Amino acid sequence: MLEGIYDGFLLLMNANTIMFIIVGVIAGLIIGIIPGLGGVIGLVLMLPFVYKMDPATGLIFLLAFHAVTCTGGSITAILLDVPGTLSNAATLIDGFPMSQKGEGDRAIGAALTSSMLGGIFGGVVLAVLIPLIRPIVLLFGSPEIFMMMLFGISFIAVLGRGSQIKGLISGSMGILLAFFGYATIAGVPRYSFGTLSLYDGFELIPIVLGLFALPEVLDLVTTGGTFAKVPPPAVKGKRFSLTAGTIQGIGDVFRHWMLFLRSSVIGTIIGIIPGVGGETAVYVAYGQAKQASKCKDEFGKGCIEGVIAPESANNAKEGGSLMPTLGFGIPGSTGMAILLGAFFIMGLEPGPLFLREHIDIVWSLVYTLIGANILGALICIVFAKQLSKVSFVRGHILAPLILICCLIGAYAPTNSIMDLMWMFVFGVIGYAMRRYNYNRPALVLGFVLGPEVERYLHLSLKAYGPLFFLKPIALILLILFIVVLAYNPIKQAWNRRRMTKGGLGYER
Amino acid sequence: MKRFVFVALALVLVFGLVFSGCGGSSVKMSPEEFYKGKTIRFIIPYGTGGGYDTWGRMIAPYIAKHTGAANAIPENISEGAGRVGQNMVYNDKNADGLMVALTGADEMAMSILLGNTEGMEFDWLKFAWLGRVTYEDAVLLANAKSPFTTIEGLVNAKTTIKAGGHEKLAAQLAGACLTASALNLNVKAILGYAGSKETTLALQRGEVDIATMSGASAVKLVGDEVKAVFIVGETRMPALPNVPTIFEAAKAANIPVTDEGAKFIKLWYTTRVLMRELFAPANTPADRVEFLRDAVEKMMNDPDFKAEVNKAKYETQYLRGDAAQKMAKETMDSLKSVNMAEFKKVLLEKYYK
Repeated sequence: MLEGIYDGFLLLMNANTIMFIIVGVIAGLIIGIIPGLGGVIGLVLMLPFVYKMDPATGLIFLLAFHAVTCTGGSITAILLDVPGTLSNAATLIDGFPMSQKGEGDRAIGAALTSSMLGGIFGGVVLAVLIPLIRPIVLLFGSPEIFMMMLFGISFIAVLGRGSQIKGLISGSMGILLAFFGYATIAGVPRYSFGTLSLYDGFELIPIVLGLFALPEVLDLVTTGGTFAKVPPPAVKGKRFSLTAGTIQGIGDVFRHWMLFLRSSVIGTIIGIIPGVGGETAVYVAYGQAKQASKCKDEFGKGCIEGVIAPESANNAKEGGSLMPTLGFGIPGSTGMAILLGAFFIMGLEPGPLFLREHIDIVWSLVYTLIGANILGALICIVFAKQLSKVSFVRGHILAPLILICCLIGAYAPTNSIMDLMWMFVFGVIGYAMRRYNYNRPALVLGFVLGPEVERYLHLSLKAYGPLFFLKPIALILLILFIVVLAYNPIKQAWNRRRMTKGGLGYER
Repeated sequence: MKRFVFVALALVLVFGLVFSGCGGSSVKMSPEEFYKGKTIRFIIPYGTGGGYDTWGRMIAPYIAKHTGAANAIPENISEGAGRVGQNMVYNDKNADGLMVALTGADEMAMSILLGNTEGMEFDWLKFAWLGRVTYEDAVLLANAKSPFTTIEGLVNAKTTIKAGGHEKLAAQLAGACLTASALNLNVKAILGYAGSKETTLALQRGEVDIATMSGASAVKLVGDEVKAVFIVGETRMPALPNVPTIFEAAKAANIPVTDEGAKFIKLWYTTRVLMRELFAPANTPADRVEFLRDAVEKMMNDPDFKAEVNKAKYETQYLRGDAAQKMAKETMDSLKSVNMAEFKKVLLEKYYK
């Protein structure tokens, strides 16, 4: 393994590969910034370019591209209230309010720094755990994944803006929407109404674009104005210098280093477990940030912790998701599924033999993951000052551009006109939800996790019987889940009891 | 006068444009002339990243190369479990030969056999069959630490054997259910895994005991954690020469195979050889169908294509389109000797407790 560390480094050290890394990073950032095009679609677009490359270079290019789409997507989430990729959906909860308050540069500084450090964290963990990839991934079966999912879905109530009851209602709506379509555990389509268009249920991207992007577009078109609700600051200094806000945002990540660390750990662990999905990591990270914060009430109104947590997690998860991909040939995320296809096309087969025979490529991917995250963040930080001005661009310029991106993003995954229609339907729903303070991220979380909770519960029961939760890791996760859920209510009850006793003592 | 000349010239121009546009259809073009410089829509009625998508993106450039087209653009139309894409291809109003699809005729055959034709707006035998690229044998795999790594172990099982898979008609579970029927096994089929990859992980982890995998996947999996028990079919696989068929294994161990179970396996096998077919719309002109078939044949013999297939560690099992179409028809004709109600019960109900 040690010789692979040096050989992997050598693979990167030629002008051709470095050029492809730079091109991959720039392309990834651009695709990430455009709403709806990040992640899978971007990778599919890049695939034809790698067919004729040598395997190592092609994979390095694709990974460099994929590693930074979330970094670019955070900018759209913060400035436009539209997630650039699905993994940025939690960032907008607090990122966009910060942008509205004129703190967009601070939010961007924090997001980019969290993304960079989170990506490095994920890469370092991957490097350290390379010899242990297979035993670690094999530890997590259906009961363990079910517990993780349950943990994730419990955060529906704590996400972002609006009351908890409304959050639960939104989450339930999301779960209900997820039931549409073919249910593999039952072998029948649910709520398809005999139509092929609903046979597979709803696609996630049109829902997200409809819920988040279209209400903003409608707002811009009807009320005019800009995204920011404060006048633009008098910006001094050179065009590409760092603003005071950006520097403050960078510093915020170091000030909240424990939060960053926890969120990165969450992202990495969730990335390791195939099946849980990257979208879960950001919500779990956000939820735990809110639970642990001393200023919970600020969440949803523009709290910097609400930006640091999901952005750390969404880049850290890529290091985690490479573990099952490289160790088993089993994609740890949707993006990894495309990367896996590229492996096969290039004649490489991830698995135990691959880890032995191509350890240099494994290490070159680790270096690429770390390097791409650093480069991507640095490029965006240089442009942060200019990018944050988007919040102050007039709506009649921005709205059509956003709309076009949404149309392309909604149509591209399945080439279906119905997805465009659904996007507009969810646009109306999203507008109403925003108007009446119902939690849109909670709906997305319910939609993503609901059917998976059902599926893994079914698998756990069928494979292990009703006592599946007594498996060691599942039991630990269950206890952790109960502790985390019960902690705040018990603490509040305890504080109330102490105050009451203290009050009685004072009256005596 | 000037105005008259101007109007006359304008009319000549307009009519000239109209007739030149119409002129093409009355001039018979050879297929070579027709395809030159054109763009072919290459439809993959499945999602990105899967086996059909990987194959399709490998094949598309060679279709363009051997037809003389400028390019062949892959399009994933996976809505409705692929039915929307398949319907679109079949019912293409142009049917001019500029649409080709890579799809699974095995899945179509099984849907028809089991009466599960919801959403099928086509007669599968009326597609223009261009050629079979490959098919894959089904291999029964078992977790190496389980007692089910041999046929004797399966038959003498003291506990319920857990079989895992994605959905009822997917190879992972269908092969296991048919094996159970043929050997009278106590099997519990667990469906709901996200695909063959997740089923593989469940098998390696020991969460399930057995699963049937397609040949190419099985070859990669067999090792310390997973053992190949037998081929669920009639012929051995070249890539796994030491793995017997279910019939050979049963004969060697003196274990009886039920007559009905044997028939079911043979019927299932005859559908599996219809995998990965290239189709064109139903009313594509006959000369262009033949041209496309020739192009597919040239592709299969193209050294560059073969090198790419080898690089991806795949195998090809080429069959010309008309022969594949004939085989499909014979599959349907062979139904008469099979108890379809019991076949359906074995695949869809009996082992799902």
